[in-house]
Amino acid sequence: MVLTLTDMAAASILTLMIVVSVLVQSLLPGEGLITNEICYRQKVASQILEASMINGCLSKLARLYEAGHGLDSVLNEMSQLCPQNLVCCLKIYVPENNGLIACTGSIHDTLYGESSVLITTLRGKMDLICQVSRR
Amino acid sequence: MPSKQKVDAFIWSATAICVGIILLSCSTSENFASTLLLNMNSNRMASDKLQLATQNALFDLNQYLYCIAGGEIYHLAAMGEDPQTLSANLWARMPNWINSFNEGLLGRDIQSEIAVEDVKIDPYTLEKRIDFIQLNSIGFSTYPFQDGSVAISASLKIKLTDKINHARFEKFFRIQIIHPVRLYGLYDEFNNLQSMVNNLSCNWCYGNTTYAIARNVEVNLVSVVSTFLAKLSVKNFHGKIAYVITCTKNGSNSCRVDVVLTGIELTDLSGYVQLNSIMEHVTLKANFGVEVLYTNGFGLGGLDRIQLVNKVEN
Repeated sequence: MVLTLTDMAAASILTLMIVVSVLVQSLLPGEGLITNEICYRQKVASQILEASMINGCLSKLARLYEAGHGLDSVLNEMSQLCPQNLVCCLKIYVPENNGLIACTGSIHDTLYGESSVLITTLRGKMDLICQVSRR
Repeated sequence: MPSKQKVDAFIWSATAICVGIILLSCSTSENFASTLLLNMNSNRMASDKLQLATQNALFDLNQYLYCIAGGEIYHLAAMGEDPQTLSANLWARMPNWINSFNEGLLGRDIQSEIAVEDVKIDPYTLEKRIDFIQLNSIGFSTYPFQDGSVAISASLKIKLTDKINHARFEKFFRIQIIHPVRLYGLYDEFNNLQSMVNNLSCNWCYGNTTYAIARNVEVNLVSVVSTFLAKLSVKNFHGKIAYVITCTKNGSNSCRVDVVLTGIELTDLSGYVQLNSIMEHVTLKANFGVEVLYTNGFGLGGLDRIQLVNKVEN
């Protein structure tokens, strides 16, 4: 059987289509995989906050805020809970003036998981936000 | 078209259709898996968010109750009010917390129904059950709580709905925390002092003049109060008691003796409350008085009215 030029062109186009589709599938992560990664990072962030609540860090933050002292030492203590292969950023906002009053760490990726908890103090509410991304 | 070319064309067309179908089915199944993964992750994220919010409510209420209890205990003791009013005072502050927490959750796309019930305070005893996780969350993992501290309990019902994917979560918590300040201990000591003075004061009145009677009452009172304060020191309380003894003639052979403990200040040195940025000991400030009528069969001499004022402290 001798292949004509048309046959070869058709075969080449088909091969190219297959290669392109395989490359697209393998190189670009699907939306499902991206949300899977975000979900995992959000879970890590939630667990950091949950462990901090049990350890008494939220209570310390509330008392320091009421006393008008800095909150960085407690945020640093909380950031020790971050897994080694990930980086964590902890921020405290006061919703009334939407102001950032304390922050520790930074995230290195646009793909990050985020969880937050509320802290009610006698001076008002605070939002503690934990963001987790890849190192 | 020659037959060989027809066969080739057929083979290539069939191959192209087959590859197309394979690619299409791969893409469809991947889309299906991706959608499944998206839904699953969305549900997991919503469920994690709701679970964290319920834990947040429990621990935030814990620390809020602890903070407001500290301030209330301090002011209640300073006014010498009944410790049971503390329950009502804490209860009255709950709507503020509920509203503030609900607002905070709305900002996270969570619809919430929160109810705080049965806010109660009781004297802490060593036999009482302790929730170590809740105590740890307010910074008392290994604190040696003593009898007479304040045990605070409440129940928290929380029902949350995620506004985006309508996931629901419902939980009931029992809050059990202890404030280490021995408020009940202070009141117990105050009641002991009151009953001692009430029971013994009638035996302290003797003498032939108003001054002698007042002086005898003072000597006995100081002796009883000093012993009482010495025992307080052992229990790590501080006490300061100011008194006024008035002996007033009431006819030729009788008199009225008023023993008034005008400034009783009992302080618990073992615990603190935080008032803004200041850590303060709690001091119970109170007073009471007893009146004794004394009759001397031989008649009474001296001034019509004698008053002795002094104070004792440990």
